[in-house]
Amino acid sequence: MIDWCYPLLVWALILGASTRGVQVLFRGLGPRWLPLLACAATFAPVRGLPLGRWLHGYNANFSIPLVAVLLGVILKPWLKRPLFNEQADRASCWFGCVAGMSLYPVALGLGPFDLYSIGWQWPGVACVAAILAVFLIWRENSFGLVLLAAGVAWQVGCLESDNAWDYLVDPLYVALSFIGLILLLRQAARKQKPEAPSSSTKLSAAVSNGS
Amino acid sequence: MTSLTRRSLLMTAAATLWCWPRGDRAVFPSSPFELPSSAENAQRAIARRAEVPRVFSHFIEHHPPLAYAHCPSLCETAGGKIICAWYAGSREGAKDVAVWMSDLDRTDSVADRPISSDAPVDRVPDSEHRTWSPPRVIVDREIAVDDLDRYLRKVGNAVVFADAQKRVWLVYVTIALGGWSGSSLNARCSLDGGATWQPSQRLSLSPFLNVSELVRAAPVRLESGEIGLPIYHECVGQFPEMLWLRPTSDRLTVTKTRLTGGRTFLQPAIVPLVPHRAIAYLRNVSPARRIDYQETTDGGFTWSPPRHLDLPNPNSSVAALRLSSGSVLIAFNDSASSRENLTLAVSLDGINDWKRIAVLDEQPKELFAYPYLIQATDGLIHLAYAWQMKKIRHVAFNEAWVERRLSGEDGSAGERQP
Repeated sequence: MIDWCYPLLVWALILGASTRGVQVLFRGLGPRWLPLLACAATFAPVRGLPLGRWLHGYNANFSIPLVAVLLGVILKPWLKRPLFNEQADRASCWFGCVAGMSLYPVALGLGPFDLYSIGWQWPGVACVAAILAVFLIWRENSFGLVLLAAGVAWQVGCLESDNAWDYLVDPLYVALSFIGLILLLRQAARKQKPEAPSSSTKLSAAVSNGS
Repeated sequence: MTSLTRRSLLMTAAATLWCWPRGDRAVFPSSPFELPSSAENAQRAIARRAEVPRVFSHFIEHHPPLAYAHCPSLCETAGGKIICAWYAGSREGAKDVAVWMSDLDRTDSVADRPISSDAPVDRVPDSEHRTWSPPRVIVDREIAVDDLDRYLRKVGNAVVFADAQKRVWLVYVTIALGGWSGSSLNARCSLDGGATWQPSQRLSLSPFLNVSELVRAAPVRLESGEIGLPIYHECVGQFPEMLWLRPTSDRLTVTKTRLTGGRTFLQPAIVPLVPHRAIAYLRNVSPARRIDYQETTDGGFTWSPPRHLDLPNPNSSVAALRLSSGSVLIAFNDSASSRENLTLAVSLDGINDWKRIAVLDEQPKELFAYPYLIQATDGLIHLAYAWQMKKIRHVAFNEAWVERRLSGEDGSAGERQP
């Protein structure tokens, strides 16, 4: 039952987060609750099935870190501070990029060994996830809690897949991680670069020197 | 609660959750391939010598006819019935494509009606045409949408096989987005030899939206009761894989391993030779236009790099089977450029010195493709293939016929049969 409900909820979050994205793009277009309405639309019945179950045909295995990212986007207007701090965001982006870069080229045929198959083995990806989660929780990085939640989901069997990889990464999460990482790196570069004085500042300095 | 205590508890929880083994966790099988015992082989060899060479052929036809029929597969059920499953519709990839099934009951089978081996395989008494039951749909788009609770555009390739517990399984392709490279695999189980079917189960096999896994060739059984089903990947890379299935009640637990990576090989046909050794014959999509093969000596987990066989391949599927003599029989298109013929060849070691024993069909500008071979418990070899992509042709023959063609006693070994 849970593997029936979970993808439906994730599709609800995807529709909600997309609506929120459009709102941000168009500077607060529509009311604050519009993303919630989009979430609710996922449950609207279409020919006997909720809309989300139709979308399920395109993807059924969404990772837990993606759910965390989507929740962060949707809940942002209601929370006083972001769901995840900058440190957790950075960990999430790096994790998505590294995991995606390691997994997808190999899964698409690069080389004779399939890294995806170790997601079924023990000790395999599950062990790496455990070590990473323990390390991040020790460092008080809240992305460690996301990995802990992924462990719960894996034990419960939220996804159709039994493969541990699918609980940790999916293509949408990896794509968002790349975008997030680019933005974070750009932000970091801006912080490091000393601000060049603008022409008006130079003018006012010259004026004050002259006077 | 102090920060240290909280963190310690969370760390323990994370470690436990990820490291605690899941009850339904798929396990890679370590069992050897199931092969006939040496006593069975000896018995078969004696029977082969006493047998009259036999070869028969049927068409499995739709009434009214359908424009497109493709990708047949065969299996023998517990009751000795031969089942054929294929897909057919108005055209390849159309929404009306369905997986069809027909069965050939042994009590009324070709095995009871020998015909001289000299008879051309396409000359069959009218009575033989009635031995296959009228085709019936076992999966179409509506059934798959109902079973899987999701949007699907079409269904495609299917393979039918039986497990050690006498259950019949159908593994079939569905597509929600795009062409064949958007395929996902699903399984359906029948507990009564194909008469009725349980709801479908989606198999999660790829991290990339679970797409681009297809099925084509016959499975191999392991002594443990598990099944190795050759599959292939077709999006970006084109490469063969092995799907390891553990049947439990009416569900399948799955894992998979890769034969080779790259963008060159599809549709492996796997032939176990001894308990841990097997050969995989590969469809070659490269300009080399040769059938390639790989070998395993560890029960299918690692494979040698692909090498060319001395047989052409016009980028088409092949089927192969180990005979009781230990030789390998292969059904293939004997051309580097077209699928205008379907030929049988035999090699003693499965790699070298292939001898063509019969051309089953040959017609310019026509297509004879996707052969599928099985050997029934009565020793009869059944071959099915798409005939001009309009109907399914079934050819049955015994090993005595293969030996006779091979030895050239009827003066036809290596020659094209009309």
